[in-house]
Amino acid sequence: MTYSASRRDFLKTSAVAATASAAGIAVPGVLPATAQQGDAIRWDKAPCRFCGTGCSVLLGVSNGRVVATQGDPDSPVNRGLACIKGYFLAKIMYGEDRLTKPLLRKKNGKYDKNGDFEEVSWDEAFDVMAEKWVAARKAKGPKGVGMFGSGQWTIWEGYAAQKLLKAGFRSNSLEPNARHCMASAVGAFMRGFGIDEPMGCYDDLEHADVFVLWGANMAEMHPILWSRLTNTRLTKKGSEVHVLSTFENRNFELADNAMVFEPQTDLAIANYIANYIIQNKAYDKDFLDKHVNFTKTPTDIGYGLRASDPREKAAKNRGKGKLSKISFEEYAKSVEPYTLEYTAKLTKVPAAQLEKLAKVYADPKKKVSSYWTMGFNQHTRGVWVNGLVYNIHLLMGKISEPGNSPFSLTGQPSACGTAREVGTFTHRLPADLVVKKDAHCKFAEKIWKLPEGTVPRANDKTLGKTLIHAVAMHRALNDGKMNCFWVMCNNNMQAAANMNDESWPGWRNPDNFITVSDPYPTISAVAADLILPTAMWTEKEGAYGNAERRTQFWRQQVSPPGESRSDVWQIVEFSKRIKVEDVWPADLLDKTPEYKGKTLYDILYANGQIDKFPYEKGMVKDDRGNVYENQESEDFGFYLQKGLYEEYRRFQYEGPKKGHEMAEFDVYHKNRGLRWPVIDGKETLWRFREGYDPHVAKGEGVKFYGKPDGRANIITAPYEPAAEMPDKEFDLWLCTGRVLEHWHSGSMTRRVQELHRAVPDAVLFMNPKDAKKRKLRDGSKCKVATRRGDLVTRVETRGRNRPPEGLVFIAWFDASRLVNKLTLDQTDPLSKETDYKKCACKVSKA
Amino acid sequence: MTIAGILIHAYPGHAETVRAMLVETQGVELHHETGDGRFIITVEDAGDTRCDDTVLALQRIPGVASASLAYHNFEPEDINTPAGPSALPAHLTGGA
Repeated sequence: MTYSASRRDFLKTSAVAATASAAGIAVPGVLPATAQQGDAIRWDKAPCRFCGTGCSVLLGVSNGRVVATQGDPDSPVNRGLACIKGYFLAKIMYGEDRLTKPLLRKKNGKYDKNGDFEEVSWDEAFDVMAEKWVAARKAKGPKGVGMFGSGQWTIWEGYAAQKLLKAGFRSNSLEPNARHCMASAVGAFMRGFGIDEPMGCYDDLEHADVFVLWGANMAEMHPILWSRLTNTRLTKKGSEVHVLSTFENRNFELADNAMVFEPQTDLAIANYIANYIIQNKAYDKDFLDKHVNFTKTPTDIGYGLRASDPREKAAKNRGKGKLSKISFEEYAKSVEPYTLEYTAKLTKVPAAQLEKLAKVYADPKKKVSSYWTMGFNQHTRGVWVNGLVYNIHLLMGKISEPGNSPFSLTGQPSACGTAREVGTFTHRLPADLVVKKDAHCKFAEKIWKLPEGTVPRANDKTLGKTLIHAVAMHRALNDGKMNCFWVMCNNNMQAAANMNDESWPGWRNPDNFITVSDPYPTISAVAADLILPTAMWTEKEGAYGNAERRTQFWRQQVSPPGESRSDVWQIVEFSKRIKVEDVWPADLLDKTPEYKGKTLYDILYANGQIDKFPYEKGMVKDDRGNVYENQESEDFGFYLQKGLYEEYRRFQYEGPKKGHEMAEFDVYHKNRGLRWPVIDGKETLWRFREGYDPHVAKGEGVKFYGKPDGRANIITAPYEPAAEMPDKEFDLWLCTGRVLEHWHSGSMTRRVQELHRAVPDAVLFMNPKDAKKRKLRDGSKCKVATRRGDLVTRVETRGRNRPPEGLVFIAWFDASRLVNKLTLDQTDPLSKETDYKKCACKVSKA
Repeated sequence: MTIAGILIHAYPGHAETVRAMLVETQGVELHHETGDGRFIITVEDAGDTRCDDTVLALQRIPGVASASLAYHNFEPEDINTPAGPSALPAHLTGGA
């Protein structure tokens, strides 16, 4: 037998053993994977780089390169399996066009906005950038500079950015791309429960009897969770799956009750269910009496468009969200109009199916878990509709216990761990603190050893109104009010809505200097003025937090290519170029004269706290003695990641809001993650309930401790129409989203040849009748146009997505078909999250 | 050399057709069937058909509820072959 033949047999046996182990069975004649010997590969764990599920994979490294992956059998999330994207995970690091050097637009040896990209040193890149940033901060104030980060940032990258912007530049112009995906979920958690993130966990996938999917294509977007749900449905007697969507998708294959509803009418469906529960007196009166307040929210709040838009001028309560208390009777009356007959007509869902859905929620014997993702969040009434599902669960007391779980799924690997928990939003600070509260800012200043008044307040005495959300940032660039913008770990030129009218003119505004940090030359990178090459995923030490509050760490597995450096390195290194006198006023410095003459690096990172953990080459080891690199710590001379994390953790233990506690740094390198709050080393599976959550004392039963009175809010909100409905000219709903093979803008997955070959282009999914009316056939070239732009693609009438008449769907991964030239920059006025699911378009033959 | 270990889960009533498709697919070897609609297979390059493309096609077989990866090796042919304690997968030694 040749070497390669024996090697093949060995690998094949390993493959069978690993698969059998993941399936929980023994295959005759095959030794368990644990008995495999003689491998040249070093294995270590890392959470997946893609969605918010948080699967753990084992990475096999040989000669400095990842050569194999396994689903991690010790992971409680994915139990030895990974999805198709996970299968190709390691290949994302090895795309042929990786960026390896900083690139600056230059003409005649100098920076020029209209120049071509030329390779420059990190020193030159940061010197030019620092000059621009200081000038913009001085000329335009705190909104003159801005940073757009990511739910794919590691925890410490988000934390370092938080400090650089809010403390260093004294600017609240920091946003994550999670604004486009999770902000509505956050808004609803804060309004309903006073603390962010789901109360339940993935264990509910086995505990529930009934699963209701509200605007979440789990089969394609969260395949591992879907496989757990499928297992339960196929093996548990009496279990049911109800699916709600605006078009048929792969979830429908498993559905016992599949419903296609008219866009935006999910608001009415949720209110109908609440009305059904009340009319049938099925609600849990005792639970409501003890644990719930009834409230209402202002209505007719606009659509987050520019103030000059007629729809904004017409709104009576533009952007308002202050809750006012009502009685149970007033609440019952508010949902009374949502009768079965009215709701069926409005939503176009058959009455029998709506009633079937209402009955499972209203049955006290059935454990119900509700799941949603972008269908709810990317919604001009996103905060409302998230809340309406909590209303249903609260009415029944079906919450915070095994199987009864309203669960907001997450699209990015650390939208929770970084964007939400570290609080890299304009209005937030770590651990659910907010800059509108003076006490919270003072607490942050104490932890960060900064003079009082450093962190800009939302309505600051000297700086004025300092908050600016993601969509407003692109408008501010377009208007020349923001002149410097640093985009990290996302592809916002492709991702943000209304590219033609706002994003592109904003970035290419001659007054503006745009920096993009990315591993690849994305649409955003090539639209920038400075491109910084980024070390990605396991080319650095990292930490992510997934949708079930699980924090997971990984070690640096391989070296980044060329001169690329991680985002945390870039943020910290850049801070060395900024002198505090250039960005702080004299009166603030007078309060801390010891900071005079220092750089932001000295004040923010070499502050005696973050740099207190020593680093020596070779000290990062696993328990088998394997040694791992840590590029950043080696460069800065201290254990940077540990220092940032341990300072961040003080917000959880010393801050005014309990319930976010995490374990010490070293603990997470030894386990497969823990779900916070972690108290005395023990994780929490179901929050707010005695026996599961250590913050609920004996005898309290249920306590929603995020709110001062320990009660959750039921918040009534009506159905209101979408911002741009189909009309005579633009006669179809346009919905955008993802497909299984590509993740987000495709900046990584499109560089995996196999994934690109499998789904090379974004096609227009269309109902065959709509196609026929326009003389189009399957595969026909067509033009999709909205009031903002158009693109050409091909019609698909028989694919995996089957829209009803009147709606078309197109995915946004395809850089050659930029869907966001079509979309409207409408947002939920409360969460400021964009609605990418609903605008009006027309389709014609191209 | 690319070798993958994949767990296929068929919807109830579809096991027969899924099995037939798997057996017919070039590069796929069926190692075990659980009796409740689950199949343990390996996938390799076969002729002009690349392992990775085959894996992608699996989830599009009618009746397949999920195709999940458990193992994927794509090492170069000239990989060194020293063995040692550190070579064992992390979970096998009980540590991280």
